Amino acid sequence: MSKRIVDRRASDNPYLHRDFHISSDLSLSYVEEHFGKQGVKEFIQQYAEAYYKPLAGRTAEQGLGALEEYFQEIYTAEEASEALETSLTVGVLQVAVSWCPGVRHMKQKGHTPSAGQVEAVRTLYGALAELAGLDFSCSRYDAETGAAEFMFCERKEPRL
Amino acid sequence: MISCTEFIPLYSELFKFLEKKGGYQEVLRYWKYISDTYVETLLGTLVDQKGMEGCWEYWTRALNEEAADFTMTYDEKLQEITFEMHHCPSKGLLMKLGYMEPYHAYCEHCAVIYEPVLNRRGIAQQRDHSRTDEAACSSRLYYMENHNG
Repeated sequence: MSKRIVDRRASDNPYLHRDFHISSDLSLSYVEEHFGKQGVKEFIQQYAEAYYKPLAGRTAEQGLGALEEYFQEIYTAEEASEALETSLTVGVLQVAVSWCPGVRHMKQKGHTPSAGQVEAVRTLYGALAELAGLDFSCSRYDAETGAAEFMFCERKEPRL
Repeated sequence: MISCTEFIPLYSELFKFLEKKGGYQEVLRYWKYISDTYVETLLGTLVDQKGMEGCWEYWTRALNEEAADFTMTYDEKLQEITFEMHHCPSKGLLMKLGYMEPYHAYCEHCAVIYEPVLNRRGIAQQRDHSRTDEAACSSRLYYMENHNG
């Protein structure tokens, strides 16, 4: 019988706790069960407005390149760079996700992603676009894989 | 996608959302739901299979993946685990963001979601949350005296 000790500093490990995808999905499914689909949108909207404030500010100031950089950063952090394709042209950022690392992890762990996952694209990025003064549209979302296609466009005229 | 690296801000906002809807009781109801479902399945199953060793396995994996700054000690003779969280990656992240106000009782979820799962298996959880404003805390897991395991 002995004593075992684990002593770690934050810098010893990368920050990648994939089970947080499941925790995140449980949040969405719980909110949907108790507050409906509108509740999910409201919750994601609240999160986006709180969390994305600096990113929206950078995008409004520096342009769509800041947003492209953000997507590249999170997919790199998820070790899923190959799932992401971005195309930045004048005033338009197109994003194609061939599979979502969150959906993949959940399925690998035997967890079925909730119906609310689509709002983690539509409502989430719609709110981000609104904060940054951009237009947003999502042309495809595949619940099976989390694959998605969406775009952010600079507004030609400010919305009244 | 809400990246797993962005979950903590989402979690904090969830608690605020729930509190706005139904007060602190609504937040507690969510923590109980998570405890009875997700934590019961993951941690509960490990403890059923391996006893205190299951706790060791659960938290060493989670805290390493969360890149926590911590010291964990497992006294096999006493069947006791102590945690010194020098810098919690979750509360630390919320504090580091700066522009987001963490949910006022954010750290309480750790006490609420794990305790019932552990208690059902004869394990007590003693926590010291007096330094959570510095993203630090400590805890101890030990078998209750009347435990027969």
